[in-house]
Amino acid sequence: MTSEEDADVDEAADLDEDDDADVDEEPDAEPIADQDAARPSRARPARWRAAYEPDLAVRLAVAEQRIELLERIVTRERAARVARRDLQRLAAESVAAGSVDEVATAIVRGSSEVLASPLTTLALPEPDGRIRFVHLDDIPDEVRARWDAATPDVEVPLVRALDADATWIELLDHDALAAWPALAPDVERAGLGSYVAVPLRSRRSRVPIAALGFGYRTPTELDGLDRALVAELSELAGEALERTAELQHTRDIAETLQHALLPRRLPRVEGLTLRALYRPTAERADVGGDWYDVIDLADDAIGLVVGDVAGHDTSSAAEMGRIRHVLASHLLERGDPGEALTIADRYFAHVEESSFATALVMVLRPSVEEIVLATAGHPPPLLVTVASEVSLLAIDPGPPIGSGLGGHRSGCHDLPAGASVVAMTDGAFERRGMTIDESITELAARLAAVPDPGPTTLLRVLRDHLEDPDRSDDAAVLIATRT
Amino acid sequence: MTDPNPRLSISSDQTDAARLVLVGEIDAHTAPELAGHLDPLPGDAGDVTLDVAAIEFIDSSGLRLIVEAHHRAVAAERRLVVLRPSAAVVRLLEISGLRDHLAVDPG
Repeated sequence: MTSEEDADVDEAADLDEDDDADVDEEPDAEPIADQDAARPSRARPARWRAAYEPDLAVRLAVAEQRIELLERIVTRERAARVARRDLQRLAAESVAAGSVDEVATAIVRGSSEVLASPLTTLALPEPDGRIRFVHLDDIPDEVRARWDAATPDVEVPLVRALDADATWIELLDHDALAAWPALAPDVERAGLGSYVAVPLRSRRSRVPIAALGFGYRTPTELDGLDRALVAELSELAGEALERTAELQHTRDIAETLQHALLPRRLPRVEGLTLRALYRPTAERADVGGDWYDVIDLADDAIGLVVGDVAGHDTSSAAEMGRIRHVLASHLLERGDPGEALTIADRYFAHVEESSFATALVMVLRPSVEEIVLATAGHPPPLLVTVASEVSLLAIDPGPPIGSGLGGHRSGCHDLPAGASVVAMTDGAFERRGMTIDESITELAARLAAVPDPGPTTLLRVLRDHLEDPDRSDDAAVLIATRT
Repeated sequence: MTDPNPRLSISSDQTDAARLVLVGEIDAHTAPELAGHLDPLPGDAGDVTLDVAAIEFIDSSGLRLIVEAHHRAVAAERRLVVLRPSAAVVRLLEISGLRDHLAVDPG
C-alpha cells in the first residue's frame, strides 16, 4: 500500500495541479528530519501526513525508514551478487589468462562498487619486500605517487593490514583517523572521513597475501550487511589472488625455462639470412616442447633444426632441452642429418628417462646451391623460390627420436639463390577439422601469394598465420634464405 | 567401459580384450587417458589391436603412445596392430616414417 501511494505522488506531481498546490506552499516539504537528502523523490508531502494522527505519522516514519533500509539492502545485495559473480568468474578465468594485475584491478573495481566506496585501494606485497598499490582509475596522480612511495614500515592502516596477525582496522570517525598521523594528507586533501583496512587471506595462508582498504568522505559506520559483504569479498579476493599468483608463477617459470632452452640469438652467416619464431600455446599456463636450433658446423656448414617434443608441460620443455643438445652435438660431430638423428634416436630409446620427439635436421653451405636434410617423424620443410613457387621438399621419412627404430637417411635438394626453406613444427599449420595435407596446402597457398618472398616477409606471413585461434598448439618456425 | 571424455572414446571389444576401439581425437590432452589403457597392455597374449578407423585427429602425443605400446608388445613377444587406420592416422604414420615399422592392417 505504501509503495502505491508513493507512486501516486511521484507520478501526479506534474499532472495534478490542484493536489500539488498545497505541497508547493508547505515550507518544510521535507517530511522526515533524517531523510537522506540524496533521495528526494522518496520524500512524501507533509500535507499528506498531516491529515493523520501523530502516532500514525511516527509509524509511517518508521515504515519509511524500514523501506529505505530494505531498498538499500536490495540494491546492495544486487551489487554484491554482481560483484560475487564477477569475482567467481574472475577466479575461474584466471586459470586460463588473468594476470595478478588484472585480477587486482577487478577486485578494486568490484569492491568499490559493492561497498560504495570512492577510495578503494589494494596493497600487494612484492617479492622484493616493497608494496604495490592498485587504485581506482580516477585517483589523482599526487595521491597515487604518495601511496607508491610508501614503504612496508609506514604506519598506515592498509600497510599494517598486511601484518601476519592483522585484523580489520576500522577508523570510523575523525578521532580514529587522527590516531594515524600518516593518514593526515588523505584526511585533508582527499577529504577522508572514515577508513577500513582488511587483510586478505587465502584458506591456506595465515599471513595476508594482500590488503583491501576502502574509505568514505563522510564518516560511515559499518552495519551487519557491510560486514558480511566485506568478509565475503575479502575471502573471494584472497582466493582469486592466490590462485592467480600461483598460476603466474608457474607461467613465469615455464616461459623462462622455454626461453633458456631456445637459442639466445641466431648466428650471422655470410650468404644466408636466418629468421626464427617461437609461439607458445594459447593457454598461457602451458609450456610447449617445440624448439629450433642453428649450429655452426665444420667447413662453413650450418645446421638447422626444428623439433617437437610431444606434450605440453614443464617436463616436455625439459625433455626438449635434453634432445636439442644431444642432437646438436651429434650433428656437430657427424655433420650428416640422418646419422645425427639415428644416434640421437638410439640414445633416447635406451636411456632410462626415455624421450620422444619429432625433428627435421638440415645442413647447408652458403657457397653450395643445395641442402641436405633428414627427418625423424617430422613434416618436411617448404621451399619458396624467388618466383613465389612453393613446394614441399620430398624426403624419405625416418621414425621419431626415441622410437629406437633408426634408419634415418639424408636426402639432397637444390636450393637456388634467393630461395628460402621454411621449417616448422605442426603447430604452425595444423588445424582441427583439416587433414595434415589440407593444412599444409593452406599455408603453402598463403606463402605463394607473397609477391616478393624475402625472409622477413615470409616470417610476417607465418606470424599472421599463427594468429588464427584454431591454431592453439605451440609452434616453432625457422626460415633460411640463400642470398 | 566408455571414456567420459567426449573428445576421445576408448572401448574394449567384447570378444577380444586385447582390442581397443578408439573414436575421436588423440592429442596432448586426451593422450594420458589412452596411455592408461596401453600400459599395461590389454589382454594376456597375442596381438594388441588398436581400431583407429574413427580417429579424426592424431598428433605426436598419439604417435608416442603407439610407439611405446609397440615396444612393450615386442618385449612381451606380442605384436601391436594398427587396424583400419583413418586418413588422418595413415598420413601421420607416413610423415612420421612409422608406416614400415608397425603392423598396419587396412581391415
